Amino acid sequence: MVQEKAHPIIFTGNGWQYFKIYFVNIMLSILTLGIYSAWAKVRNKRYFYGHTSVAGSSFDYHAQPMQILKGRLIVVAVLVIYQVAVGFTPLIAPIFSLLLLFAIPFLIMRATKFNMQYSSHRQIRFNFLGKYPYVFLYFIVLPILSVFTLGLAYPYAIYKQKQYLSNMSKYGNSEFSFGGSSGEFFLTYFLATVLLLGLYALLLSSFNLIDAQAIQDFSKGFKEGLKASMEHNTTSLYANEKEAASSQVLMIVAGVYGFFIFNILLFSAFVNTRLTNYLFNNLELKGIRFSSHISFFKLLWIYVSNLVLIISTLGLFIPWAKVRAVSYKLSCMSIFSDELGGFISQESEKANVLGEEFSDFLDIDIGF
Amino acid sequence: MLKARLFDKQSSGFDEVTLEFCENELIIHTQDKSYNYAFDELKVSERLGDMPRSIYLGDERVCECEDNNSIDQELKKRRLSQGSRLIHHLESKSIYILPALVVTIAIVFIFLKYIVPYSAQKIAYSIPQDIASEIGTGTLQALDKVILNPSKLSSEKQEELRKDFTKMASALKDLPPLKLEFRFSSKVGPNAFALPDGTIVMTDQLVVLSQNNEELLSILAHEIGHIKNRHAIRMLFQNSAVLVVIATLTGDATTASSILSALPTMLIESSFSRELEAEADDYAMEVMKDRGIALHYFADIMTRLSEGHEESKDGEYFSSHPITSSRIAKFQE
Repeated sequence: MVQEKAHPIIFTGNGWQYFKIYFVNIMLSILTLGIYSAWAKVRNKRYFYGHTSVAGSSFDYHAQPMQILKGRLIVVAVLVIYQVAVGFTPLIAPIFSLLLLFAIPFLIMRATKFNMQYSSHRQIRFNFLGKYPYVFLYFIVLPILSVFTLGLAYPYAIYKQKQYLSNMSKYGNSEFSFGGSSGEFFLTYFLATVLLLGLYALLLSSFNLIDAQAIQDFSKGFKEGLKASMEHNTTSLYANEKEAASSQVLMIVAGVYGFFIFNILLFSAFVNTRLTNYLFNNLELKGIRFSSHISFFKLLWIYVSNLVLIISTLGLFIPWAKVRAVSYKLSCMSIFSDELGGFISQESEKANVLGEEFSDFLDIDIGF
Repeated sequence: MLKARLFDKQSSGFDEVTLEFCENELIIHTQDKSYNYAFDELKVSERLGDMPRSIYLGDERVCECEDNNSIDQELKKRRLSQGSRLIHHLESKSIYILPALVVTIAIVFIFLKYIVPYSAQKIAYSIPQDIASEIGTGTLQALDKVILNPSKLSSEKQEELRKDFTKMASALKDLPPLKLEFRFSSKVGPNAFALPDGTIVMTDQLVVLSQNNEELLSILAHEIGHIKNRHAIRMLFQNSAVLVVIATLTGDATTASSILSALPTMLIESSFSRELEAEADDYAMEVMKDRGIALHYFADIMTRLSEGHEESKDGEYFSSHPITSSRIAKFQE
């Protein structure tokens, strides 16, 4: 048997370089009234792909901006038609939602395929062979069914989704396979829930310790915030009062928001870390194994400090934040193989950009 | 001679090669062979950061080379296309970034501060009234559930005020059918607000605070000004336009950027509503003059309102915003 070799995944992007690319993208997108945003998207993606390398070769992204622009124009046209239609006959809205339920799996399928087909390593393209009935089953039916189990079966739905996405993915003509079981998914969501509940308990007890009044102030602040946002929809008699009220409650509302956002970050960092590690450690590609050892605490620190820095720099930190997060995650990953040269490419059919653009717009997150 | 990797696109294997740029062709040397390619067969990928360049050789084969600068030099010498150099030029020179940032921020600012309010106004006026009214339906019901309670005013007082209100309103043109509602609310305090469908809500506390009906009519005139100028709809469009701008800017709207988006929105909105208040004040002034209501009534009740607020809540917020006093001054002449 040949000696297996470890190839770390190396990310060579840096914040300042990406900062310049990011803001040139924004500026040109504005100057061209959004047309350049298609080119911007490709440059963004290519930057991250092109600065990620394994065994001396980097990844590449080959989508053509023109394709993406056409896709975007169609998406915008559909949304405008939808808006106008709903304006005239509001009944269309629920029908549209129902249609969307059936369209989402299709969009997920197309978007994944598009992204994979236009990604390459060593000039060999990736591919995705998912089929509609399965995507519909795992991404729509299972999550809906899990509602009836009070969410207890939700980890199983996620497990089936990840498994399907992995097993239907290809590099050249070789298939990925995910050998994990659902147990880890149940454990991860269970621990994440315990973590959140523990945090709430800690928060409540600390309120008791400091000042019982604090809880009242807290809930009062929340109601005031709600009130302020309700009044937002009406034109109040004097703007002054609104401003005063909003600056008064701003701190409290910011505190409440901050707490919720921290919870979301905590939950997603925890689930993300464990599932990504598990997925990669149990993934195989024709004798190649993967490994990932992302640390939850380090990732949480990166998320929280990124958020603080983004807010305090009014967004200027966004490019650094992206580079930081990607750079850390990739530095924890490596690939084990004896031979990376033996992959054969496959004749690929043209992928359609529409799914990708719709998913972009609807903010469908396809985690792989 | 440049080091590169030659891929045949059929498999993930590669050969280490050297590239030699000659007068009319590119020669690729492998260990034992060399291949010649005319320059017009080649396509070179665009430069982006430090990512390796792909040179597509026309026969399905590809060369990857990390020495971006040398490739650019060689291509330039031969006046060959290097992909879009301009964009890489902008992206790689630190000196352009500050102007780019300034231009970006200036454009966004001008757009949000002038173009959005202007077009929101144009759109608001172009919407037929019956559709405009639709937008506000349900708001009062929602408010009733959350912060408003039934009025405790006597029905005589309510009738009296409604009569005066209808008298004033019937003389006004280009308005949806107006309606006056009374509500009690310990949370809102003395206040009045207008909904886009023509409903004006006044709290009991405001009626108690007033010394005569003229004062209340002056405030109602101000609220009619909000309806007349379609302020609620303008704010609605303004807000959604701001959201669209932010989404376009950040592209991939993550949790972080969506929180961030709230900040500039709030800053711009507060000045927007100040302008709207001034507009409604001007309208109120006109109506009062027409109806023969002395202007000082509005000043009187506004003064009492702002005093009441200073007593009950922290006054410091108000002292830093002398807007109410300048608004009052306009009505004192």
